[in-house]
Amino acid sequence: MRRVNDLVRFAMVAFFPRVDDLPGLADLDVDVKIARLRRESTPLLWLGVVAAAVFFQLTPVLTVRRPWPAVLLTPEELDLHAHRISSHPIYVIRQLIVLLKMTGGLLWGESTEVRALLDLPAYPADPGTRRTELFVARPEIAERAPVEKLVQLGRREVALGRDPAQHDPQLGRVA
Amino acid sequence: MALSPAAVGRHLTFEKLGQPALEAEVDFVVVGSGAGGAAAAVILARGGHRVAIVESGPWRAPVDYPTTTFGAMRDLFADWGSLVTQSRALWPVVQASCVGGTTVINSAIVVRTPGDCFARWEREYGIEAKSLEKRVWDHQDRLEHELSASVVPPDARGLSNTLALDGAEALGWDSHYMVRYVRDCEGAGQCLQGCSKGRKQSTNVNYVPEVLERGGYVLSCAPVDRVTLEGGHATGVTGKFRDPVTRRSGSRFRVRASKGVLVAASATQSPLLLARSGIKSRALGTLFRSHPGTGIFGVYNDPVDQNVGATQGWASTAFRVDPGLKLETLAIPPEMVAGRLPGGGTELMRRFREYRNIAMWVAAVRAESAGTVKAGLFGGPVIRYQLDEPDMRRFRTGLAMVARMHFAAGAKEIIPGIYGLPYKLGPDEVNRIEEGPLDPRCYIAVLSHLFGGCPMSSDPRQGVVDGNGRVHGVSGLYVVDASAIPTTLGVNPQHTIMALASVWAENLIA
Repeated sequence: MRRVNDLVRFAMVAFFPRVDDLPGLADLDVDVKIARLRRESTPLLWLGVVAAAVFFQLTPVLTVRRPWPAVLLTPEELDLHAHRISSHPIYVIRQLIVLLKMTGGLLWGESTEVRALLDLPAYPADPGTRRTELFVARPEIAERAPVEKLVQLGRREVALGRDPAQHDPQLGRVA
Repeated sequence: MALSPAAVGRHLTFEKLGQPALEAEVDFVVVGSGAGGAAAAVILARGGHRVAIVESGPWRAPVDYPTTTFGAMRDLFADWGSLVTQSRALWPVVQASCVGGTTVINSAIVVRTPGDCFARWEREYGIEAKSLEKRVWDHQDRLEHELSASVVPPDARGLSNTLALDGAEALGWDSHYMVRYVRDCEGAGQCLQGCSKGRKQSTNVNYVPEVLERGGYVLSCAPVDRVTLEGGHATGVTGKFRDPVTRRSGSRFRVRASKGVLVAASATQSPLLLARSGIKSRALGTLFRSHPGTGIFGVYNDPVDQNVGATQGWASTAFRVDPGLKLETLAIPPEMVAGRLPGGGTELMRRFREYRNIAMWVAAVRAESAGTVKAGLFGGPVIRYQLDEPDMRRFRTGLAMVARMHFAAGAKEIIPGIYGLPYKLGPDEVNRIEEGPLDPRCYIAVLSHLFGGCPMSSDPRQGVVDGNGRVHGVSGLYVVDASAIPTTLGVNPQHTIMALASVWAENLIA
């Protein structure tokens, strides 16, 4: 079980390596995240991710002309393999790699460290809850509080005359 | 456990394996709680009927919504968003599975049903258009009022949306900030993960609770196996509760409906449910259509921060008829951009560094191509659908238009994301998109507006339901979701689906 996770880890880390101050997936609790992906995704999705990781391992011959597994490549060759395999001429290969990149991207891009570099606040933890009570009331709405960046842009919009009040009062009519 | 007819409104869901089986009796049972199902259910409940809504996914309120895309795929999307078209290109089909359906994860965009759609339904499918058109528009008036339809406020727009308007104005194109079912949007940029601020008026925060308030039942985590039929009459539905975490099936439920069964399980699921239930129609699963769309990233000198502001706030419907396109903004979170940008390894990471300076705008095609949706080996939907050449030409034209808009708005480069083209193109290279590949496999597109599968037509050989949503040849069985719509609309369909479902539900209480 651990070996399968390691296989997926190897491929994902190759796609999202550290570059200067931008942390790589290996720096971001990747093992915990992959274990979570395995536990919480559907069997079909996980199977696809594992298949993509196996494929990535076996195909350096297609990209850097090395007839051995990706684990034996030099760091430079591995990096080139990750780049080239994602734009391989065969569609099915590209799609398999898209699956690996998309899931790896989910694990990497949600990290607090990455979001901080993008001037975005950290994501709060996903609650993972649902309603089980017998009566579910309509939720209340908290007070409106757009961020300052948006407020400033809004002032500019109003100054430009792009105010909702100036729109066609016939809401939602197609042009 | 049997629910007494006198019971007050209740929400019943999967609790544990071995919980008692459930039997309930109502006037109407509605399968699905998205745009169509919830809109129909609330009309029936307001008409004084006892209604049960049966939804395959869990009920998550805004306080339960995830904030990450990982959480959204796990908690809100159907099967982690893994459904794809099985044709030449594998394009994802985006749908939610939760109380509220796809209204929880979409941008709640409000566009009225264009008049030419009704005319086409009459011409090609024998649907009486004039009265339907009036009634749909009347309901759209009501829906806009009840669900707080409003233009994105100036201080919720964000730069991606205002730049799009700049670009369209510079090109002289008619466009607008979107009207959406959102109450006082504050631009949290979280539409795709469910609006945890509770401002988006998904049906799980209004009509579904109202059904409970009016004494109805809501069953969540309750996928329906089949509609029960007795002597050509629909009498209810059966299924088993399902653990939303482990997906294991639990106890049985059966809901009897004395007056009717309304199916609104989506364009991919409604045809399968009818087929499982023994409905025989040569039209079942046919005329599956969509508005496939994909985006172009514009790269700007200054930060755009596309995730600050409304996820979707600008659109143009000016090209709906000719060439058959809708243009929109669509901000996607960093974790999705990371997977969407071409390349891998250090090159991908270098490309990602521009995240703050990119904006994604989308072209969606009003496609004429039609496909099928049938049950696969394990019972899930198999969608055969691909764009024909004229649609692919439109698709390509739309992307070139989006590219031009980016440059008109001040982008220095664009990232087309089209296989075979360079990673970036400059302002003088838009023709490379116009002359780009017509092979759908060269594009990463998404099907987000789905139609057909149980199309309406007055002719039972052509359609599964008639002009009132009633299944041909079966009494008491109706389809009230997008699967009944036999054509594309060229605009976002939620407003049409809700109004059409309202009209058909209203017929049942008249």
